Amino acid sequence: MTPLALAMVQIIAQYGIPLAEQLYTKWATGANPTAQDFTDLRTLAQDNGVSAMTAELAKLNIDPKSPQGVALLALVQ
Amino acid sequence: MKQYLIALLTKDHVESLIRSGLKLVSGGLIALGTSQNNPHLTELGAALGATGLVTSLINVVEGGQDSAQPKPTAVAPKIVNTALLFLLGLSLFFTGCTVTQQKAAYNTLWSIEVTADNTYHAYVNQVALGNLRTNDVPQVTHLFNQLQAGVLLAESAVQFNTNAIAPASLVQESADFMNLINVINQKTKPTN
Repeated sequence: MTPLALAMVQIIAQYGIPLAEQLYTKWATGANPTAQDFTDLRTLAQDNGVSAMTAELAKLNIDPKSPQGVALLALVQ
Repeated sequence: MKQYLIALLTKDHVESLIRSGLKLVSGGLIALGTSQNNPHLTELGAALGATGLVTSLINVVEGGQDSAQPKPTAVAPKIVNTALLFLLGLSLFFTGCTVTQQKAAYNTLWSIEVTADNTYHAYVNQVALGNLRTNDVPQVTHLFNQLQAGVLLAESAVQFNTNAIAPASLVQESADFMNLINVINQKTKPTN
């Protein structure tokens, strides 16, 4: 397996598997959604461009105060 | 002749056909579910729309590869197929179960939100890595923020109205978001 394929598998595992898990946990129960379920949804819906970029910069070990970090954050303001 | 047609159908064509089919079916089911006040149909429609978003997510990852290097086609289609089958099976299984309209609406919102959020995170990840061009980021971000605001609003409506069904306009917004990312992927060139 090439390094590129490995990187791709890693990214899909990072986003694909947690995504499937997140969907499954909420779909698996037929019970009415609880207040906690709504809080989870609200928390997720409060994610925006800046918070998403900040989280991704942290994952990639890019300092948000570095010139690259500042430039990337400016794009999502 | 058949072989010639198969040779013409590239992976992009097939994906495009699948996406169009999913959009048509999901839109139709949502409209039908809303008009007949049937949460199961609406939920299934949204799940199919979410499946389209997952395809976009995989496209973002694939589209982010350096074009100078060969694409690892042996792994990606399997993952795409697995994700599609998983979500389709999941949606068919759970729409067969008896759920309240509130639960159906919640599932719809949750599917839209989780897939859109993950797609956007994968997108900005690839932008930060320099694999996707930065020109499109403001437009994608604007659409993402709009969708988030819509989900927040719908979430309140669903929470306090037990008969609520997720609005079709929100599903349309998520489809627009998905389309934009797909278009960007097709014309992607690294900025560096």
